[in-house]
Amino acid sequence: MDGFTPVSGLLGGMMIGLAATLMLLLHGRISGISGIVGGLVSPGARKGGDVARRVAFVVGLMLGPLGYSVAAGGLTVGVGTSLAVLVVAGILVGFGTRLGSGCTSGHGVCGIARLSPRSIAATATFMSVAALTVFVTRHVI
Amino acid sequence: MADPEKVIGFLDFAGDWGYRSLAFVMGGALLVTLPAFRLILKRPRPVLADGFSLPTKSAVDARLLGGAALFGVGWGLSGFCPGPSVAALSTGATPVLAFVASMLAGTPVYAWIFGDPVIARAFSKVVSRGLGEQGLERRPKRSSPRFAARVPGSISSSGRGIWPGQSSVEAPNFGSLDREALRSDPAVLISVPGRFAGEGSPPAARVIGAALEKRRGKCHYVYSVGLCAFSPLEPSSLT
Repeated sequence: MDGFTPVSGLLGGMMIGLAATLMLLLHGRISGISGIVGGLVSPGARKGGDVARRVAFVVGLMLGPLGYSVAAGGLTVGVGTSLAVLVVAGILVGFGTRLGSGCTSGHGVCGIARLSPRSIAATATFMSVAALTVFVTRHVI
Repeated sequence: MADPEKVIGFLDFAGDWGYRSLAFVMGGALLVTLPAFRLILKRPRPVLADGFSLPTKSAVDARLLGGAALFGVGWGLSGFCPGPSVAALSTGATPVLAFVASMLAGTPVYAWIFGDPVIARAFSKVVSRGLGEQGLERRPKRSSPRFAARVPGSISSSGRGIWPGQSSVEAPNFGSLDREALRSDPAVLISVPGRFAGEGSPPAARVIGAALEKRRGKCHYVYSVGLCAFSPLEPSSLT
């Protein structure tokens, strides 16, 4: 049972939920990370306050693991796939999340919380497709 | 979530149950947001902003599901989704950098294909400079007679570019042009609408261009992207 960490998983998830809640309560916005990061890279959305908000979110997002690793004494990220696969995957994620208007935070966390049929459909889709991909790459190929 | 091995383990339904902890992550998040969102959205406005800025699209369409599927493949391959990958940047690990860089690259590709005006204009400048001065133009809705008429030189000043601010396409001067001959020449009819797959392009590119031209407007852009890979980056000349 190495690696089964339900408690820290639950706590971490609740912190994500809290972050999304605060974002909605304070700013009235959905914290969809693919949208926030995507808006930084697509100059169509480049207005002054908008960029600042997005950068602040990204900085905060990066500070999270830093804070954790300071508190818990280090953080390891285990990446088992080759660089080429990662690049392909990155392009798919970048393109796919813009085409589908969201990712696990936008659709999965916030969208389902709003009971949005779009988000429920999207989440079901990417979850099942991802599971299928993992099945194929781990057990078939 | 920033640990891709764990994410892939979570998605591996046929594998070791030990990685189910990630189900607890999303469960934990929803535990908070489901009730909280209901309460918050009852308010007239958020605390620090004037109003709620919520997504308004409601249709479950092919774009949504197609995008979600592509994202799912990428997620399943790498174990990364956007949030954790950005968060993991703070570790400075090379694989994370590679993933985030390519994720950021995938975004403008989408914007170009689906018409973000600012990006599209920039891209079209690069592309048109490389492929000839015709630039990218919206395909006319009806077929044949207007295609035949759209030889270079007959592009009127009212030719609408797609993107706001794109000035009318300057017709390149190809010297004397026998329009009648051009109209009946099938090679021209294939290559002219394409604008990229001209005389200098490999036949495969021209055929593909012609096939895609028959389809709806969206494919025009996809084919533009694809043909950038095929055709030599030289102005196509019809003389």
